[in-house]
Amino acid sequence: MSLTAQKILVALLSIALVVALIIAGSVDARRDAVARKHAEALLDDAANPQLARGRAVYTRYSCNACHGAGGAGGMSNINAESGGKVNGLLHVSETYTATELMEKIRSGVPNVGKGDPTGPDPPLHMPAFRDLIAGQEMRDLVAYLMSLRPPPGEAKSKAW
Amino acid sequence: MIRVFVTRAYRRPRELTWVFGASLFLLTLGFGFTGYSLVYDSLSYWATTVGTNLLGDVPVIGHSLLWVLRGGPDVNPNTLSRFYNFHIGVLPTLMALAILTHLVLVRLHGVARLDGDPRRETYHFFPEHVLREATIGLVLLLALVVYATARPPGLGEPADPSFTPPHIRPEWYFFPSYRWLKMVPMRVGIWTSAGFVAAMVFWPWIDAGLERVAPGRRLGVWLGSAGFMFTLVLLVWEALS
Repeated sequence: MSLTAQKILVALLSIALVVALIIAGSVDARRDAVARKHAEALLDDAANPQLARGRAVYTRYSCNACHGAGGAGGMSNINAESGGKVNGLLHVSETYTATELMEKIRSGVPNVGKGDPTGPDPPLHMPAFRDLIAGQEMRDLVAYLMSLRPPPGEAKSKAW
Repeated sequence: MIRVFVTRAYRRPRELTWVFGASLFLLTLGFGFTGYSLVYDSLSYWATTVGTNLLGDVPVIGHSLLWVLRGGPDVNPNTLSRFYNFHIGVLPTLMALAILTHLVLVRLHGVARLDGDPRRETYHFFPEHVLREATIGLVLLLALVVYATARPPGLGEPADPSFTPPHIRPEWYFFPSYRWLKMVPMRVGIWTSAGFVAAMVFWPWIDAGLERVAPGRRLGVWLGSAGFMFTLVLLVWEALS
C-alpha cells in the first residue's frame, strides 16, 4: 500500500469517527435536554408537600400494584378493553375533573370492559375505596393524580 | 490508534507497545463505567445494574465475581464504595503503570514511520517529547474544562431500586456494544464482544498470521477497517434508535 493510500485511509477512518461522534453526540444531547426538563418538572412536583403526601397515599393503598409506579400502568389484565393491561394514570387530568376522579376512586370499576366480547372476563377490577380513603387523604391523592403527566413526546390518550 | 493501525506500526518489535496502548483505551472505558456509576442517579443506577449483570454470564466464577463487584446481590451502597475505590485507586494506578510502560516502549523502539516515508525523525525525551505530550494534554484538558463549565451535565432523579426508568441507556462510548447485545442472544453477544476486545489487544499477532496467509494483500488492514466501520455503524444506530 503506497504512502498516499495509507494517508487517505487514515483520513477516511478519522473523518468517519468524527462524523459518527458528532451525530451520536448531538442526538444524545438533545435527548438528555428533553429528559432533564421532564425530570425537573417531576422534582418541582416533589417539592409540593400535598403532592408528596398524595404520592404516599398512592403507595399506602397499593394503587401502584395495578396502576404501576408513578401511574405508569402496565399490569396485565387479560382481555381488558384497555389493551389487556390495567390503565396507566398519566392522562387522568385530560379526561376527569377532580370531583369526577374522587367519585371514580370512591365507587371503583366493578365491571371492566372486555377487549374481545367473546373472550373471558378480565380477572382484575378496581375495588371501591369509599370506606378506605376519605378527607385529606382523598384530596392529597386526587391532587397527586391530577399532577401526573406523560413523558414528553408520548401521544395524548383519551384513556386514563 | 487509527494511524498506528493503518500503517501497521504495531509490527515486530512494537507488539507490546500496541498491547499497552489498547490497554490504555480499555482502562479509559473502565474509568467511564465506574465514574458513571458514581453519579448514582436513576439512569446511572440502572446502567450499573445492567452492566454488572453481564458479568454473571462469565462461566464458573460469574456469580462470585458479580457478588464481589457489587458487594451484595444487587447494586447497593456497597457497590458505590467499591466503584469509588476502583475509580480513584485501582484504575489510576493501573493507568499510571500502563502509561509508564507504554512510554518506555515508545522510547525504546522509537515511533514507527510510514512505509515509504524517507524521513527519519529522532528527538529527545526531554524537552521535545514531554513538551509535545504536555501541550496536547493541556489543550484537551482545557477543552474539557470549558465544555463542562459551559454545559454542566447535571443530575437526574435519585436512584430508586423499585422503579426502572423507561429508557435505560449506557453512555455513548458503550453504544456499539449495547446495540450489539440487543441484536444477538445475550450469551453470544457477551462472548463475541469479549472476542472483539481480545482481537483488538492481540491484533499485531493476528495481523502477522493474516500476512502469512496472504502476503502483501493487507488483509488485516481491510478486515480491521471493516470492523472499525461496523463499530461506528452500531454507535450511530444506537444513538438514533
